[in-house]
This record gives sequence, C-alpha cells and structure tokens, in this order.
Amino acid sequence: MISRFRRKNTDKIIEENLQGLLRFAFFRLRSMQMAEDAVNEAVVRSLDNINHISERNFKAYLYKTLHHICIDTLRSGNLTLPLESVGEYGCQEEEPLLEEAERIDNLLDKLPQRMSEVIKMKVVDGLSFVEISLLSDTPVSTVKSRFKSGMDKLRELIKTLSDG
Amino acid sequence: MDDYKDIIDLLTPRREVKVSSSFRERIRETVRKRKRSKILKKYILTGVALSAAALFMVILLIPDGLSAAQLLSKTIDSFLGTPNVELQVDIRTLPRDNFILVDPEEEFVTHHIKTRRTDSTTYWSIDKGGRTAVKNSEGVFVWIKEYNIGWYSSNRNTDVLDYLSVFVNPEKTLERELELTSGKYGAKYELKKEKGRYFLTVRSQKEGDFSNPYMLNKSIVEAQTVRRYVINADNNHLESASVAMLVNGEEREVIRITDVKYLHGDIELASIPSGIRFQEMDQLYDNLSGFTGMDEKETASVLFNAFKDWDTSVIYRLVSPDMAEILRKDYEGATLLSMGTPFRSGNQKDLTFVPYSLKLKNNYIKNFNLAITKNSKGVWIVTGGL
Repeated sequence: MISRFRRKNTDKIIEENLQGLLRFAFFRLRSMQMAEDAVNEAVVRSLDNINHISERNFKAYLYKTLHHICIDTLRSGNLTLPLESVGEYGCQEEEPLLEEAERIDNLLDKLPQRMSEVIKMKVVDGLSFVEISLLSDTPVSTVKSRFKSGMDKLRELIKTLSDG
Repeated sequence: MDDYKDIIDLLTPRREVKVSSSFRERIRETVRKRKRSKILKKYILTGVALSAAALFMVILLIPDGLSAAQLLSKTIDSFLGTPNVELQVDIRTLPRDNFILVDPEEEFVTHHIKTRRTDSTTYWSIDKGGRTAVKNSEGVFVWIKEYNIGWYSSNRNTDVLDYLSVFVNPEKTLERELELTSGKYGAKYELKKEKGRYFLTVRSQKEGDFSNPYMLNKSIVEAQTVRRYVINADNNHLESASVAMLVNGEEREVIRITDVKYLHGDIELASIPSGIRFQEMDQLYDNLSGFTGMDEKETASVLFNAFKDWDTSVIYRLVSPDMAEILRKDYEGATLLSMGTPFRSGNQKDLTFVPYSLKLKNNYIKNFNLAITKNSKGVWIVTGGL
C-alpha cells in the first residue's frame, strides 16, 4: 500500500520538477506539444510503478522514464505533428527556444555522445551527479569523469575555434 | 564547477521553457486519475476475470489477499536482492535472426541468458547459438560469429532485444506485467495459489494494424498471447514461465523458461570473440545515402536490378556493405521477375514491405517481401526481407 504521506510527497516532487522535466523533453524533442505529451506519459508510468520506487529516487525515476520516452520518440522518427495538435505554444513562442536548443546542441555536438549527454543533464537540465548516475545506470565516479573530460575538451575546442 | 564557469555560462539556456497553465492542469488531472485508478484498477480487472469464468472466483480471492500487482511487486523485490541470475529459455525462432522474431511456425531454439549485477548497474548476455548479444561496461554488442559481423552501441540503454529484454533483466519480466496491469493493452489477469505456489496467467491482445496480416504472430507484441508464471510463495522466486500464441484459436507454446538459477557467486557473461567486424548501430542506416526522390517501390526495383551484375555503386547505397557482401553468394546474378504493391503490417510503424519475385542464379524462384524504411536523411534504405 502507498501511504497518503508518500502520495503527497510524490505529487510535490512532480509539481516542483514540472518545468525541469518539460525543459528536458523540449531540448531533446524540439517540440513543445511532444514534450508535454512525453512528460505526461512519464508521470503516468512513474505513478504506475510507484510501489517499487523509493521516494528518495522518485525524481531520478521520473527523469529516467522521460529519457527513455524521448529516445523511443526520436527512434520512431514520428516527430511530425498533426495541425490540430498545435496548442498554447504557437510557432512564434517556440522559435526562440528552438534556436537556444540548436545553439547548445551545436556546442555539444563536437563531443562524444556519452560526454555531451552528461554535460547537458548537468548544465542544461540542472541535475546532480547522483541523479545523472541513477538516470543513466552509470557509476557516479564515471559520470563525474565524463563531465570533467567533456568540459576540458569543450574548452579546448572553443579555444581552437576562437584562435582560428 | 567554478573552473568551468565560462563554459557553463555558454551552455546555460538563455530562455526558459514556460509551463502553461493548461499543461499544469493536465498533469494534475493525470495525477488525480492515476490515484483513483490505483485503487480501482485491480477490482476492475478482477471483475473482468470473474465475469469471464466463475472458476476464477477462488483464484482471485487468494487467502492472503494479494492482488496480482502486489504479487508482482514482491517478486521484483526478490530479484533485486539477488546478485546474479542464469536462465535457460526455449523460444520458437531462427538461431541467427533478430531477437524480436518469435514465430510459432519455427522450431525451439535454446537461449542462454545471464545477468550480472554490480552496485550501480546490470550487465547481461544472451546467446541463441547463431546470434549473441552482450551488455558490458562499454555498451551493447550484438554479433553473428558465423559471418564475423557485429553491431555495437556505446549507449548502454540501446534496446536490441525487444520483448526478450524482459528475460535479460528477469525482474523486468514481472515489471512489464506490472505495467500492463493498467489495462493499457487490454490484458486480463488470473491469479491462484496452490501448494505453496502462485500461478499467474496473463492474456493479452495483439498490437498493430493487421489489415495485411503479414506480421501477425511474428513477435510477442504482434500476437494474441497467454503468458504463465509460476512463483514460489515462500521466497517469491520466479520458478518458471511460458508464453503461448493463439493460432487459429488454439494455444501454441512459443517461449518457455526451462531453468532459473539464483546465484550469489560471480558469473561469466558471453565474451566477444576476436575477428568480428563491428559497426556502430546508430550509424548503420544513417550512413546509407539511398536515392533521393525515389519511392519505396522504385528503390526496391533499383536494388533488385543491381543484383544481376552486383553493382555495388547502387547496392551499397541501400544495404550496409558488410551485410551486402554476406548476401552476395545468394543474390549475385539474380533477375527480377515481378513486384507487388508495397504494404504495411503489424506494429512496425516505420517499416514498409515490398513483395517481390526474384529468380536466383541457381534458378530458384524466391517470393518474399523486402523490408524498407526511411533513414534520418529521409531516403528509403533496406533493413531486411532478403
């Protein structure tokens, strides 16, 4: 049985992380409508599995589920939206965000994926190293080392570009 | 972190995503609904089973009052407390084919599955004789030893096993069933306790569009199935499991776990043999340039016509070169006799099949369906059906 206390806490975790989750999904799917659908699905799946997620890990589980949903959506290649699904976010409001997502991806594209993903989760998504470790099934020490190597590499690349 | 302040500033989004009020309300409503359904779900499902057969009245009111979801959850806990698991699973499939293929028309092939746990992650290997896959600290590797060909991905979450992933993570077998208790896929559950064991039976519907039935019963999700689990009531260990497909109204067993071992000592996963030419999975199809402006039928036609003189300037644009060279001994010199109308089938949303009739150089007439899909460049390329 799930205690009322625990339910209340998970609700709070969802509320508090809504913006972060939406940002996480948008910066991967590049569509606000799809990002909202992905976050909603992640909430559904996480609540369905609440019996075997410790409260301490609930936030990481939410992000992990959302990460999988984003990967599945990208793999399916089904990123085209029907016209009637255009929601509150019009194209004009989405455009600057898309430009931001593209700008950041252009910077990170030069790194191996395992490094860029850690950096993105840390800097763009604001996750802690422990949360990234739980989310990616990778030891914390590896996550930290990928972050450091990636940042050093990125610094070098930026320096080379600005020198050149 | 301070050391990287300049780079962090560069990477920090300059615009923030806004959570609209309608979206916030949508999520609140989702949370409310899930809470309600958590309570109602098992009774609704129980009701369905009871109305289906009075026999299950006893079954569903088992003495200690566990619901199917609670039982599954307990079994998951038992796996989580177990370091390593070794399974032997018999599956009707072809030894070299993809792990997704489960076909009631094929013979049983024994799969050796090993799961090794560390503090932070789970590694596994699965060997079906002709094809082997392993997840280790480097990523996910799949290979066919006979052809010395393999594929790898450094992303350890890459899914190469489809439904079989439930067996490489044994706790996922039941976790997946737990997910299904939402009734999302129309599954029905029956649970009974007898002589110290729980017997759980799950009946699920096929998923996909079968207006063309070509893909019907070619994978677990594309078939109507009955899945049975036997769980020790004392320690909640999974003792055996089986999956049957309903073919012409009759059950045909397609998967059966014949042995489950819970091990507390170390375990050796399948090792990657030397000499395998590995290709990056993610780039496998994206590296193919295809032919811009051609539709699926034209693409298939161009490929088949290139077989006659084995024109690699065409073939390599549509089929990965390593795979093409494996196919060469059978298809070089083949001539195209006819082609049918492309169609889709089953749960493979992105896959199109093009029927063809090909005369091979040994005069054998091959009638089959070429599987093609669009890669990230938006051009048709070949993924199977040869």
